[in-house]
Amino acid sequence: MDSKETEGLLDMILQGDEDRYEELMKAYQVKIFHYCYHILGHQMEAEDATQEVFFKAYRNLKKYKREIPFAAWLYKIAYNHCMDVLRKRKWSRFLPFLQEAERGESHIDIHIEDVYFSESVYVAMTVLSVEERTLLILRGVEEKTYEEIAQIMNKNAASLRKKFERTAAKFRHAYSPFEKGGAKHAESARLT
Amino acid sequence: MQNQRDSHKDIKDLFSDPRIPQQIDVTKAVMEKIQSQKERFFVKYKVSLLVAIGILASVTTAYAAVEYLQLKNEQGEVIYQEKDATQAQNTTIQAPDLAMLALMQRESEIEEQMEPGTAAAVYVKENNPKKSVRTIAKPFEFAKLGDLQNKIGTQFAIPAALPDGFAFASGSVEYEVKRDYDKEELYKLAEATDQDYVQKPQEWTDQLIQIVVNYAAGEDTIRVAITNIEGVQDNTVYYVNQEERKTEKVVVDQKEAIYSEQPMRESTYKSLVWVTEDTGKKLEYRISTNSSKWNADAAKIWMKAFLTAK
Repeated sequence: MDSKETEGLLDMILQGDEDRYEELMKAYQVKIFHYCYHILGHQMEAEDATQEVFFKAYRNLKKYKREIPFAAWLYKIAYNHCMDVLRKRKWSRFLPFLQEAERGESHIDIHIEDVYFSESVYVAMTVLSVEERTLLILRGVEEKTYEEIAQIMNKNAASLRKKFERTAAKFRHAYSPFEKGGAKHAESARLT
Repeated sequence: MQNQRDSHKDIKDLFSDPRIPQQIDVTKAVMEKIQSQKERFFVKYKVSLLVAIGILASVTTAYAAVEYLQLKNEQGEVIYQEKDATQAQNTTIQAPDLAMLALMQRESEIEEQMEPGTAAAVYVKENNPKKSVRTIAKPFEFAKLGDLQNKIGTQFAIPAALPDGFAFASGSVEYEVKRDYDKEELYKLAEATDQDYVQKPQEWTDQLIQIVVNYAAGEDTIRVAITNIEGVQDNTVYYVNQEERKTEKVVVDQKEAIYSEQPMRESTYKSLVWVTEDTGKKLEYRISTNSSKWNADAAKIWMKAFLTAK
């Protein structure tokens, strides 16, 4: 959906045609879901977060200033929401899982498969802060410009450029393609 | 720039894994949440709306009242009436302001965190340009009918069970709150904290606002609300899309009531309303449900049960 179509839909929704909001969601929901999925490392939580992001966006639609792209505004809401989720997430919920992982118990691999696509990526992502994860996904995967990422994260574009290089290096260093018990997936070689 | 992007192709490839879910659809859940927010807004603020509208009605007596659905008492006074929202000079019902909805949502969240049977004056900083302070009261809640009955006293008799297998599931009661707070004091407190709201606990009076009784039969639920409408002139309720509602008058034990059916997104919302003045208090009884088991005939049986309960 291009920005003109988005603007048109926004006008209609703000004038009371609220059902058109469904069209806006359909256009952006997969992107927002993928962002939440990688930041939270959990499929169900990412689905809930996506719902919450679109609900919050609807409630605050009148506040949306059109000088930034609508997608960037949605990512901004998603970024803040994911930070909240991670802040609230109790460490105790994950601690036993990580401890068991150190002991090499195999059912852990199965557990992580249910919630995130790769244990290796999950572990590498946990090394990064939420800011760094956001930067990695938005720049490295979604290929957004630094200017747009700066708007989403309320940061300076130039400093983000430097930070991204450091973040990518940190991620590569932490990433190990070998799942416990050998290479389980296609990630057969360490990233270089 | 292209080269720089290419240098991170390894990362992009890694996050393009086919095991990453590609299909997701949250539209239905979000649209339902938006819809329920609006319905909740309407139900939650009906009581205060009634008061506001009562004031409005008192200065607009020139209405041709006969064209609206009304209930009258023995003296011929209007004790309940329904009109279309377009008749209310209050656009809030038709198009709730998004900032106002956001404020209400936050207030609802605060209310959810409060203990049942407590009340507080709450000032939320965001989405609150008028700096309004709201008294949030979390009704007393009861899981046993006996406990509810003890709280509300014998003048309100609540049937334990009703036809089609409906039995008491839960109940609540809310009273007026003593409004004892200073807005400026709350504003100062708000300035001194990073929290997005501040509050001051409030005490209850013994003046009833509303009793709510929920009945359940399997997954079907029916809600009965008994609301104190003393002092509410004409007791007018404005409905959005009134023309979509099917309404009829029913009579039980010589008492008139209005039965209505309103099509909703995936069900039909049915309700029965009547007003009693027998105990010296003006009380509105409203039974409402989405249950497919319920209809005008069932409504009459329920009304009779409440009129004759001892």
